[in-house]
Amino acid sequence: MNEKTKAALIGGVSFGIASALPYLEMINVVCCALYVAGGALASYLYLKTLPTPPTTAPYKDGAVVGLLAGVFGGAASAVAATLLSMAGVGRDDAANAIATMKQQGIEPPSFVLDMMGANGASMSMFFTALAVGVILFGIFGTLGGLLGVAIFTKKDA
Amino acid sequence: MTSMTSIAVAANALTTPWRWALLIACLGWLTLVAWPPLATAFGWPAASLPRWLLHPICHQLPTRTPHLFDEPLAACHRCMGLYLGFTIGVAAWPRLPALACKLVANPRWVAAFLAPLAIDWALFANTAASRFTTGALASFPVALLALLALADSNNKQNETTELREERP
Repeated sequence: MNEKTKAALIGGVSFGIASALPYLEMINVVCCALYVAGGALASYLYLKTLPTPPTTAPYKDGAVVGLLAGVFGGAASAVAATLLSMAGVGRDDAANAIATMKQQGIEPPSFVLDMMGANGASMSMFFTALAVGVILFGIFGTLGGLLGVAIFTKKDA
Repeated sequence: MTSMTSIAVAANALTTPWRWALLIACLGWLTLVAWPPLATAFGWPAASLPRWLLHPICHQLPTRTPHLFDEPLAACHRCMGLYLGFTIGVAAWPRLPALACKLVANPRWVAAFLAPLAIDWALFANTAASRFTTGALASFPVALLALLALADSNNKQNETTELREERP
Protein backbone atom coordinates (compact mmCIF):
# COMPACT_ATOMS: atom_id res chain seq x y z
CA MET A 1 0.00 0.00 0.00
CA ASN A 2 1.50 3.35 -0.98
CA GLU A 3 1.67 6.39 1.28
CA LYS A 4 -1.21 8.20 -0.42
CA THR A 5 -3.58 5.26 0.06
CA LYS A 6 -2.47 4.75 3.66
CA ALA A 7 -3.02 8.44 4.53
CA ALA A 8 -6.38 8.43 2.74
CA LEU A 9 -7.51 5.29 4.57
CA ILE A 10 -6.69 6.74 7.99
CA GLY A 11 -8.23 10.17 7.27
CA GLY A 12 -11.25 8.82 5.41
CA VAL A 13 -12.20 5.89 7.62
CA SER A 14 -11.77 7.78 10.92
CA PHE A 15 -13.98 10.68 9.82
CA GLY A 16 -16.32 8.34 7.92
CA ILE A 17 -17.07 6.42 11.11
CA ALA A 18 -17.42 9.72 13.01
CA SER A 19 -20.04 10.75 10.42
CA ALA A 20 -22.12 7.69 11.29
CA LEU A 21 -22.04 8.14 15.06
CA PRO A 22 -25.07 9.66 16.79
CA TYR A 23 -24.69 13.38 17.64
CA LEU A 24 -21.18 13.53 16.11
CA GLU A 25 -22.79 13.21 12.67
CA MET A 26 -24.50 16.58 13.27
CA ILE A 27 -21.12 18.27 12.70
CA ASN A 28 -21.59 17.52 9.00
CA VAL A 29 -24.50 19.94 8.93
CA VAL A 30 -21.90 22.68 9.43
CA CYS A 31 -20.61 22.88 5.86
CA CYS A 32 -19.81 19.14 5.65
CA ALA A 33 -17.10 19.72 8.26
CA LEU A 34 -16.35 16.04 8.89
CA TYR A 35 -16.02 15.28 5.17
CA VAL A 36 -13.67 18.23 4.68
CA ALA A 37 -11.70 17.40 7.84
CA GLY A 38 -11.19 13.80 6.65
CA GLY A 39 -9.59 15.05 3.44
CA ALA A 40 -7.50 17.61 5.32
CA LEU A 41 -6.23 14.98 7.79
CA ALA A 42 -5.32 12.68 4.89
CA SER A 43 -3.35 15.52 3.25
CA TYR A 44 -1.56 16.27 6.51
CA LEU A 45 -0.59 12.62 6.99
CA TYR A 46 0.57 12.39 3.37
CA LEU A 47 2.72 15.53 3.67
CA LYS A 48 4.27 14.09 6.84
CA THR A 49 5.35 10.94 5.02
CA LEU A 50 7.29 12.78 2.33
CA PRO A 51 11.03 12.23 2.92
CA THR A 52 11.87 15.82 2.00
CA PRO A 53 9.51 18.80 2.18
CA PRO A 54 8.06 19.46 -1.27
CA THR A 55 9.57 22.36 -3.22
CA THR A 56 6.06 23.52 -4.11
CA ALA A 57 2.68 22.89 -2.48
CA PRO A 58 1.51 19.62 -4.10
CA TYR A 59 -2.11 20.58 -4.85
CA LYS A 60 -2.64 17.74 -7.30
CA ASP A 61 -1.48 15.16 -4.74
CA GLY A 62 -3.65 16.84 -2.09
CA ALA A 63 -6.69 16.58 -4.34
CA VAL A 64 -6.00 12.90 -5.09
CA VAL A 65 -5.42 12.02 -1.42
CA GLY A 66 -8.56 13.97 -0.42
CA LEU A 67 -10.63 12.23 -3.10
CA LEU A 68 -9.41 8.81 -1.97
CA ALA A 69 -10.13 9.73 1.66
CA GLY A 70 -13.63 10.75 0.61
CA VAL A 71 -14.25 7.46 -1.18
CA PHE A 72 -13.03 5.44 1.82
CA GLY A 73 -14.91 7.72 4.21
CA GLY A 74 -18.18 7.45 2.28
CA ALA A 75 -17.95 3.66 2.28
CA ALA A 76 -16.99 3.51 5.97
CA SER A 77 -19.83 5.86 6.88
CA ALA A 78 -22.45 3.81 5.01
CA VAL A 79 -21.24 0.51 6.51
CA ALA A 80 -20.94 1.91 10.04
CA ALA A 81 -24.38 3.57 9.87
CA THR A 82 -25.97 0.32 8.68
CA LEU A 83 -24.28 -1.75 11.39
CA LEU A 84 -25.25 0.75 14.10
CA SER A 85 -28.79 0.91 12.78
CA MET A 86 -29.04 -2.90 12.80
CA ALA A 87 -27.75 -2.90 16.39
CA GLY A 88 -30.47 -0.44 17.30
CA VAL A 89 -27.95 2.34 17.98
CA GLY A 90 -27.66 5.53 16.00
CA ARG A 91 -29.50 6.74 13.01
CA ASP A 92 -31.79 5.28 10.43
CA ASP A 93 -30.68 7.93 8.01
CA ALA A 94 -33.13 7.33 5.19
CA ALA A 95 -36.11 7.01 7.52
CA ASN A 96 -35.07 10.17 9.37
CA ALA A 97 -34.70 12.10 6.12
CA ILE A 98 -38.10 10.98 4.91
CA ALA A 99 -39.73 11.85 8.25
CA THR A 100 -38.14 15.32 8.12
CA MET A 101 -39.29 15.85 4.53
CA LYS A 102 -42.84 14.87 5.44
CA GLN A 103 -42.75 17.27 8.42
CA GLN A 104 -41.79 20.03 6.00
CA GLY A 105 -44.68 19.12 3.72
CA ILE A 106 -42.40 17.69 1.02
CA GLU A 107 -43.32 14.44 -0.67
CA PRO A 108 -40.27 12.08 -0.61
CA PRO A 109 -39.12 10.59 -3.96
CA SER A 110 -41.30 7.57 -4.74
CA PHE A 111 -38.34 5.36 -5.70
CA VAL A 112 -36.87 5.88 -2.22
CA LEU A 113 -40.12 4.75 -0.61
CA ASP A 114 -40.21 1.77 -2.97
CA MET A 115 -36.66 0.77 -2.04
CA MET A 116 -37.32 0.91 1.68
CA GLY A 117 -38.28 -2.36 3.25
CA ALA A 118 -41.02 -2.85 5.79
CA ASN A 119 -38.77 -1.72 8.63
CA GLY A 120 -37.13 1.10 6.74
CA ALA A 121 -34.06 -0.66 5.38
CA SER A 122 -33.12 -2.88 2.43
CA MET A 123 -30.07 -3.89 0.44
CA SER A 124 -30.92 -1.53 -2.43
CA MET A 125 -31.30 1.27 0.12
CA PHE A 126 -27.86 0.44 1.53
CA PHE A 127 -26.23 0.53 -1.91
CA THR A 128 -27.96 3.80 -2.78
CA ALA A 129 -26.76 5.33 0.50
CA LEU A 130 -23.29 3.96 -0.22
CA ALA A 131 -23.20 5.53 -3.70
CA VAL A 132 -24.51 8.89 -2.46
CA GLY A 133 -22.09 8.83 0.49
CA VAL A 134 -19.08 8.04 -1.70
CA ILE A 135 -19.93 10.82 -4.17
CA LEU A 136 -20.62 13.49 -1.52
CA PHE A 137 -17.67 12.45 0.66
CA GLY A 138 -15.50 12.35 -2.49
CA ILE A 139 -16.36 15.90 -3.52
CA PHE A 140 -15.90 17.46 -0.09
CA GLY A 141 -12.92 15.23 0.75
CA THR A 142 -11.16 16.57 -2.36
CA LEU A 143 -11.75 20.13 -1.17
CA GLY A 144 -10.49 19.13 2.28
CA GLY A 145 -7.36 17.64 0.71
CA LEU A 146 -6.69 20.91 -1.14
CA LEU A 147 -7.23 22.94 2.05
CA GLY A 148 -4.92 20.57 3.92
CA VAL A 149 -2.12 21.11 1.41
CA ALA A 150 -2.59 24.89 1.53
CA ILE A 151 -2.52 24.98 5.33
CA PHE A 152 0.00 22.27 6.21
CA THR A 153 2.69 22.78 3.56
CA LYS A 154 5.64 24.47 5.25
CA LYS A 155 6.03 28.15 4.42
CA ASP A 156 9.55 27.78 3.04
CA ALA A 157 8.54 24.82 0.86
CA MET B 1 6.51 42.97 -4.95
CA THR B 2 4.88 40.62 -7.43
CA SER B 3 6.49 41.05 -10.83
CA MET B 4 4.59 41.48 -14.08
CA THR B 5 6.15 38.21 -15.31
CA SER B 6 4.75 36.20 -12.43
CA ILE B 7 1.32 37.77 -12.97
CA ALA B 8 1.44 36.73 -16.63
CA VAL B 9 2.51 33.22 -15.62
CA ALA B 10 -0.34 33.05 -13.10
CA ALA B 11 -2.87 34.13 -15.69
CA ASN B 12 -1.57 31.46 -18.08
CA ALA B 13 -1.40 28.66 -15.50
CA LEU B 14 -4.95 29.28 -14.30
CA THR B 15 -6.45 29.15 -17.77
CA THR B 16 -6.26 25.36 -18.03
CA PRO B 17 -9.02 24.04 -20.33
CA TRP B 18 -10.15 21.79 -17.46
CA ARG B 19 -11.47 24.87 -15.67
CA TRP B 20 -14.41 24.84 -18.06
CA ALA B 21 -15.25 21.29 -16.97
CA LEU B 22 -15.03 22.40 -13.34
CA LEU B 23 -17.23 25.42 -14.06
CA ILE B 24 -19.83 23.23 -15.79
CA ALA B 25 -19.78 20.83 -12.82
CA CYS B 26 -20.32 23.77 -10.45
CA LEU B 27 -23.22 25.08 -12.53
CA GLY B 28 -24.66 21.55 -12.58
CA TRP B 29 -24.43 21.46 -8.78
CA LEU B 30 -26.20 24.82 -8.49
CA THR B 31 -28.92 23.53 -10.83
CA LEU B 32 -29.34 20.48 -8.59
CA VAL B 33 -29.77 22.77 -5.57
CA ALA B 34 -32.31 24.96 -7.41
CA TRP B 35 -34.13 21.98 -8.95
CA PRO B 36 -36.91 21.47 -6.34
CA PRO B 37 -38.60 24.89 -6.76
CA LEU B 38 -37.97 24.94 -10.52
CA ALA B 39 -39.42 21.46 -10.95
CA THR B 40 -42.45 22.33 -8.84
CA ALA B 41 -43.07 25.59 -10.70
CA PHE B 42 -42.70 24.14 -14.20
CA GLY B 43 -44.01 20.62 -13.59
CA TRP B 44 -40.66 18.90 -14.14
CA PRO B 45 -40.04 15.46 -12.60
CA ALA B 46 -38.16 14.45 -9.42
CA ALA B 47 -38.79 17.68 -7.54
CA SER B 48 -37.83 16.24 -4.15
CA LEU B 49 -34.90 14.08 -5.30
CA PRO B 50 -32.17 16.73 -4.74
CA ARG B 51 -33.44 17.32 -1.21
CA TRP B 52 -33.07 13.63 -0.45
CA LEU B 53 -29.64 13.45 -2.10
CA LEU B 54 -28.30 16.50 -0.26
CA HIS B 55 -29.83 15.86 3.17
CA PRO B 56 -26.60 14.32 4.57
CA ILE B 57 -24.72 17.59 4.02
CA CYS B 58 -27.31 20.29 4.77
CA HIS B 59 -30.14 20.63 7.28
CA GLN B 60 -32.35 22.34 4.62
CA LEU B 61 -34.54 23.95 7.28
CA PRO B 62 -37.09 26.05 5.36
CA THR B 63 -36.64 28.99 7.77
CA ARG B 64 -32.89 29.12 7.03
CA THR B 65 -33.05 28.35 3.31
CA PRO B 66 -33.39 30.71 0.31
CA HIS B 67 -36.71 30.45 -1.52
CA LEU B 68 -37.49 30.53 -5.23
CA PHE B 69 -41.11 30.73 -6.39
CA ASP B 70 -42.08 30.48 -2.69
CA GLU B 71 -40.37 27.06 -2.44
CA PRO B 72 -37.16 26.38 -0.49
CA LEU B 73 -34.00 25.40 -2.38
CA ALA B 74 -32.18 22.17 -1.48
CA ALA B 75 -29.45 24.00 0.47
CA CYS B 76 -29.43 26.56 3.29
CA HIS B 77 -28.17 30.16 3.00
CA ARG B 78 -24.66 29.23 4.19
CA CYS B 79 -24.33 26.26 1.83
CA MET B 80 -25.67 28.37 -1.06
CA GLY B 81 -23.00 30.96 -0.26
CA LEU B 82 -20.34 28.26 -0.26
CA TYR B 83 -21.48 26.84 -3.61
CA LEU B 84 -21.91 30.23 -5.26
CA GLY B 85 -18.60 31.57 -3.92
CA PHE B 86 -16.74 28.55 -5.26
CA THR B 87 -18.44 28.84 -8.67
CA ILE B 88 -17.67 32.56 -8.91
CA GLY B 89 -14.09 31.76 -7.84
CA VAL B 90 -13.64 29.22 -10.64
CA ALA B 91 -14.84 31.83 -13.15
CA ALA B 92 -13.02 34.81 -11.63
CA TRP B 93 -9.55 33.63 -10.49
CA PRO B 94 -8.06 33.43 -14.03
CA ARG B 95 -9.00 37.12 -14.37
CA LEU B 96 -7.38 38.06 -11.05
CA PRO B 97 -3.76 36.91 -11.59
CA ALA B 98 -2.17 39.54 -9.33
CA LEU B 99 -4.36 38.54 -6.38
CA ALA B 100 -3.81 34.85 -7.22
CA CYS B 101 -0.03 35.39 -7.05
CA LYS B 102 -0.34 36.85 -3.55
CA LEU B 103 -2.53 34.01 -2.29
CA VAL B 104 -0.35 31.32 -3.90
CA ALA B 105 2.69 32.82 -2.20
CA ASN B 106 0.90 32.59 1.18
CA PRO B 107 -1.58 29.71 0.85
CA ARG B 108 -2.26 29.64 4.60
CA TRP B 109 -4.21 32.87 4.12
CA VAL B 110 -6.99 30.64 2.81
CA ALA B 111 -7.67 29.73 6.45
CA ALA B 112 -8.26 33.42 7.25
CA PHE B 113 -11.16 33.45 4.76
CA LEU B 114 -12.78 30.64 6.78
CA ALA B 115 -12.66 32.61 10.03
CA PRO B 116 -15.70 34.87 9.37
CA LEU B 117 -17.79 31.77 8.60
CA ALA B 118 -16.72 30.13 11.87
CA ILE B 119 -17.45 33.32 13.84
CA ASP B 120 -20.83 33.78 12.14
CA TRP B 121 -21.71 30.13 12.84
CA ALA B 122 -20.89 30.61 16.52
CA LEU B 123 -23.13 33.70 16.76
CA PHE B 124 -26.76 33.14 17.66
CA ALA B 125 -27.74 36.45 16.10
CA ASN B 126 -26.58 35.71 12.57
CA THR B 127 -28.78 36.64 9.63
CA ALA B 128 -29.50 35.13 6.22
CA ALA B 129 -27.23 37.75 4.64
CA SER B 130 -24.35 37.10 7.05
CA ARG B 131 -24.60 33.33 6.59
CA PHE B 132 -24.66 33.66 2.81
CA THR B 133 -21.85 36.25 2.63
CA THR B 134 -19.47 34.44 4.99
CA GLY B 135 -20.11 31.19 3.11
CA ALA B 136 -19.28 32.80 -0.23
CA LEU B 137 -16.17 34.45 1.24
CA ALA B 138 -14.94 31.13 2.65
CA SER B 139 -15.19 29.15 -0.57
CA PHE B 140 -14.00 31.80 -3.01
CA PRO B 141 -10.24 31.19 -2.37
CA VAL B 142 -10.71 27.41 -2.30
CA ALA B 143 -11.59 27.63 -6.00
CA LEU B 144 -8.05 28.88 -6.64
CA LEU B 145 -6.62 25.72 -5.02
CA ALA B 146 -8.82 23.58 -7.25
CA LEU B 147 -7.63 25.49 -10.33
CA LEU B 148 -4.00 25.02 -9.26
CA ALA B 149 -4.57 21.26 -8.88
CA LEU B 150 -6.10 21.15 -12.36
CA ALA B 151 -3.19 23.17 -13.76
CA ASP B 152 -0.76 20.69 -12.14
CA SER B 153 -2.45 17.77 -13.83
CA ASN B 154 -2.66 19.55 -17.17
CA ASN B 155 1.07 19.53 -17.92
CA LYS B 156 1.39 23.09 -16.74
CA GLN B 157 3.60 21.96 -13.88
CA ASN B 158 6.45 24.22 -14.95
CA GLU B 159 4.25 27.28 -15.04
CA THR B 160 2.64 26.65 -11.65
CA THR B 161 6.04 25.86 -10.15
CA GLU B 162 7.42 29.08 -11.55
CA LEU B 163 4.38 30.92 -10.23
CA ARG B 164 4.89 29.58 -6.70
CA GLU B 165 8.60 30.32 -6.76
CA GLU B 166 7.89 33.98 -7.52
CA ARG B 167 7.44 34.97 -3.91
CA PRO B 168 7.57 38.44 -2.50
